[in-house]
Amino acid sequence: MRTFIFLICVIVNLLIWNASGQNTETNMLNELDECLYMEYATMRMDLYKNGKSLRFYEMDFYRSGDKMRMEFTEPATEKGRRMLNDNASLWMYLPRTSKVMKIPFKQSFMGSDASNSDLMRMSFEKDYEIVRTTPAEGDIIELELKARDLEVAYNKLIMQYDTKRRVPLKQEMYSLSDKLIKTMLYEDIIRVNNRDFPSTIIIKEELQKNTETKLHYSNIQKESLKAPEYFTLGSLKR
Amino acid sequence: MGLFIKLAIRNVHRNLKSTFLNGIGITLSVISLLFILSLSRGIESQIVSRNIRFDTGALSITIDKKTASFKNKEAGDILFSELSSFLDKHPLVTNYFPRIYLPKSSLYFNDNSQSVSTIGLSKQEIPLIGEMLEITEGDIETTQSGIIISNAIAEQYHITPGDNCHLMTQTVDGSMNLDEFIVKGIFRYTSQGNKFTVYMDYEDARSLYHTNLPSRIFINTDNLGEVTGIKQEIRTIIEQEGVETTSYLDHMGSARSISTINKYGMLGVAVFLILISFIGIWSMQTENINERQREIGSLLSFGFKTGAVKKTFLYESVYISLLFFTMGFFITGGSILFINLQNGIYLGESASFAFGSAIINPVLTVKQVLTVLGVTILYPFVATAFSLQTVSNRSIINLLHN
Repeated sequence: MRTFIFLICVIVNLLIWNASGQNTETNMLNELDECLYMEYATMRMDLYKNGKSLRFYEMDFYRSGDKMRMEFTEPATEKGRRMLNDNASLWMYLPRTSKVMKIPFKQSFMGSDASNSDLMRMSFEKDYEIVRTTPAEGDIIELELKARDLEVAYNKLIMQYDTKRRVPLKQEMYSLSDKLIKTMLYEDIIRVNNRDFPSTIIIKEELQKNTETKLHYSNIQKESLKAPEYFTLGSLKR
Repeated sequence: MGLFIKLAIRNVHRNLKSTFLNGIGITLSVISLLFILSLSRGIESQIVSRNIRFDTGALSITIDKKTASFKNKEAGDILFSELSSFLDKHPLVTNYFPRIYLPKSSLYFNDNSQSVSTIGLSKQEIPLIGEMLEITEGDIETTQSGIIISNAIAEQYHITPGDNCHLMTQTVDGSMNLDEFIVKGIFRYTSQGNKFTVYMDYEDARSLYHTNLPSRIFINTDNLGEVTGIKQEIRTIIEQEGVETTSYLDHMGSARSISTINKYGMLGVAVFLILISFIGIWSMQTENINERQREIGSLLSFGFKTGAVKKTFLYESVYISLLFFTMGFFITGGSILFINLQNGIYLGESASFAFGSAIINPVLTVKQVLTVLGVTILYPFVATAFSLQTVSNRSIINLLHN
């Protein structure tokens, strides 16, 4: 009888320990999402080739939950262009033709090293699970994230995560065949609403090493500004 | 009759100047006609046969992403097994091959990238690339871990066989996949459609696309007239969403239009050429008859009837036609053979819009040769008959006096 009770206790403990582990992992993914979550920012994207600036774009970025919208403000030739992720599809509005078209998530974002999904669909918790956690240096740990589904763009992510500041520092994105496709560097960490936020993201394509895309966020606001209607297809043309 | 033929042959050899002038006209017409007809046939067979063999198949079964995904492996495997079993047993199906059509992929060479469409062909189908397109560099016999690219890509990025590259694509489910390949061969692109197409081994493409089923199954039959029936049979077996069966007839709209436009366009040119040649021969024969009025007068004075004299001239015309048709036939036949040995005439990239391909292989058939022979005998005959009208109304004295 004693042995039986002991075994029950061991099993219960194991379950609790496992559940708490899962909770920790879920929390960490949640923290990642929270860290990068913002409802408004001014965004500047610079595209470089062989170290020289090719072009830049400036956008107003809006977000409400999983829905995102971008409005191009610079350069003048792109002003008025809008993009919307309505949590189902990605849409682009072209002011010159006054037309809205559906665009693929995995397409390159304005010819940059980032894909549309890199910028317009960000949810670590929904898309990934942590399969490995390795201590790296000081407060930094290395996380290996595996896609929950084959539909997720990058099948594996290896991320350096600062547990103290609760921000990602570096993120390597791998293909299904386990080959490195892109590296993202999170830099210039600033304080926003008492949380650390990486205000600069550098995206490097590993197959085309002479190019680089730099994203810089400013005027970051974590709270909602826009009504839900703002994130609908109908409002994109207006 | 034998006498008139002998006279006609003698006259042809005697009047070398007129024979030669008429002969040049006839030879040029024969060459033009044979070339036009062979090109027209070549274009037609190229558009239709290339399309069937390379692009549409006599029949093809297209499988959508959802059905092909490993997520639906069990149902997919059953579907493929049912299909294979049906196709293996069907008496009219010559063979069938699975293919993978990758969506837009990115090909990376050093620090350059190029958007391409990729087709994965099974080992048995790889030689088709060599048959349909000219392999200018490298070897396509073994394509495993290798790709075949167009000369347009090769020239743009200075690629030679043996160079390494990466191909990145979106899998059937949506995630990104990437692999390393070696450029095995370079083909001369023949249209805008294959300028940025990459061919690779079926299994490599399948692994890259991470798919359980092929994107398409190409079905060949020797009896193209039966495709509609086979299509119906396949549809009866696999009545499910995500699988679509089509025959080459469903895809031939534009190809047929191009082919018909070319056929009638070429025919128009041929008729125009014959008309010009007809007028030329008519005037030359009139001149010839006028120059030989004394000879005609003498024959009539010896008791030959007008009809018999006319017959001699008509035999002359037929003999010249046969003689110079033979010459024209050998010149054209030799040229067509040479062109085909050189893998066709390269007409440049823009020709692909008009002819469906930048490379044209002329095709000469017995029917075409016999048609041209008939036309070559007929129109100088008619031109001579018209010219002989001048003889009918003249008296012997008048003719001899001239």
